[in-house]
Amino acid sequence: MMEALARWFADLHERTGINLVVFYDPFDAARFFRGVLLTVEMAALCIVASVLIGAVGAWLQGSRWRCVRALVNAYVELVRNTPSMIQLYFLFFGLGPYIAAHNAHGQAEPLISGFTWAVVCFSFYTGAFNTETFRAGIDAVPRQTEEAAESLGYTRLGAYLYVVLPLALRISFPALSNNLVNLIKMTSVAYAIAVPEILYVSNQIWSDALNVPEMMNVVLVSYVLLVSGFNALMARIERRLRVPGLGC
Amino acid sequence: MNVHALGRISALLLTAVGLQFATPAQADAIDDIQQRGKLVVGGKSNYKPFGVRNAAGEFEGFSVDLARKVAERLKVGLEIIPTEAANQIQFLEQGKIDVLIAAMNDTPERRKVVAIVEPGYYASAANVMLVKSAGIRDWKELKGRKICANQGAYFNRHVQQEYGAEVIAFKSPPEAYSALQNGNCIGFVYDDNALTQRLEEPQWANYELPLESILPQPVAIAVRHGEERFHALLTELSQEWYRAGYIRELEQKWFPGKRSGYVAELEKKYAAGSK
Repeated sequence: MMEALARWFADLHERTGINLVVFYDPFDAARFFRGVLLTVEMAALCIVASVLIGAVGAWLQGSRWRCVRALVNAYVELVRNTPSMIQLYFLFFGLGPYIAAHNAHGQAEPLISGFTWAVVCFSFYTGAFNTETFRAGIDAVPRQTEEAAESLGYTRLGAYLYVVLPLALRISFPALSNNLVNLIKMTSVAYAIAVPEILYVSNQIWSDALNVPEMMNVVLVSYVLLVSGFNALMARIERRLRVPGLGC
Repeated sequence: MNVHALGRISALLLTAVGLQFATPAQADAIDDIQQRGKLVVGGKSNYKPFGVRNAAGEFEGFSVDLARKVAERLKVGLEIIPTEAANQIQFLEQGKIDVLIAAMNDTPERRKVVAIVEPGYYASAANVMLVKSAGIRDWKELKGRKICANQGAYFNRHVQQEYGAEVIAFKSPPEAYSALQNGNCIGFVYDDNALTQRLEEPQWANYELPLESILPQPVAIAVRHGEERFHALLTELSQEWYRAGYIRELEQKWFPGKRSGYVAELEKKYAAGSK
């Protein structure tokens, strides 16, 4: 079956010049598939980390201490006001070389890989947006609900974790989905520091096969599929989380 | 949405897909250039000694001298647009430039999409600049090792597939050199001419070129397919450069002390042809 498909695509190239090399050349197919997997892995790690950062950030924004609030606001402003690619370049080329250890040949080798820097960068970038999104959700939870929780003996953290955050999460869910979709698309920026994700491997392939228009189509369709899949998942979660009477 | 609207939209989409693969109709390039009064050449801006920007911000190098010769022959001005290995062919295909004189290697894949001018004006091969302490003495020892590269170079795939190196390719050579110095890889696989020159700089004292160059290829001028007149003119010029000893002169200027076998062979061939 796979072989027949590969032959069909090789034949398509012969007949029409449309060179979808990733579907018939085993070497290119393998590196493209690894690229897709790496994008998925990077996106999954960033989604989890950025949601956690957003939840913690939003909680700290409501802190009693002014310095904590100022610190969180400073983080949100700094990260939101600089492009993610500039941050990534800064981390990888500006900061990375200083966090290094000598390897077996006495060469100072950075301890943090490009992949890790990308995950850190995109998580904190989207984490800043999630902080604001959750903050808006928390603000929409009626103050009386929080008071009711406190009157039942919840601590501030307890009320936040078990009452406010679950409600805020539902309110901010559509905006959160948007942030996370942007995050998935942002992973392609890691191409600039040679993390072999979809765009990077595609660039390698079109440089060898010189099939730029074809690969651009393949990249576009790959992202459409990835993001559509993610949207379907989020819609499912949103339905599961629905509380009758909350919101619309 | 009714069926008609859907039909119309899909027809539009199909047209868009069709357009992507269609090649634009071109008038003759030489007429265009002379009408415009300016030859637009795709060249390298960070590839010593073929094309770099000097302290004054002007392009200079082996390829730049040849570009000037072509402009002189057409009696027009010269503009150089910097290109990278990963975008040079697209620039030519899209008509952003008239001709590529960008130290591009002649490969079978590239021949399919652009018209390569023969003879090539120099030859280069791939080599890898390695950190001395890695002690690599054979290409096969690169297996599983991290090697920096320049995106779009024709030998990247070979190094990955044949020797099993883990190739980390950056957008342009300066980033790859920087990554090598930062320890992100143990070597940089790149054009041997460029690496040899780079190694002479004091900051690269801890690096070496211990391996034999691989995959030698001519470096050639390229135009779009179908530009028969322009291609013929450039072919004639290239042969003339060998016959008149101009390529030899440029070699002495940009690679002092070097005498490549490729140049000697072509000189003999075209000198013999003229008798």
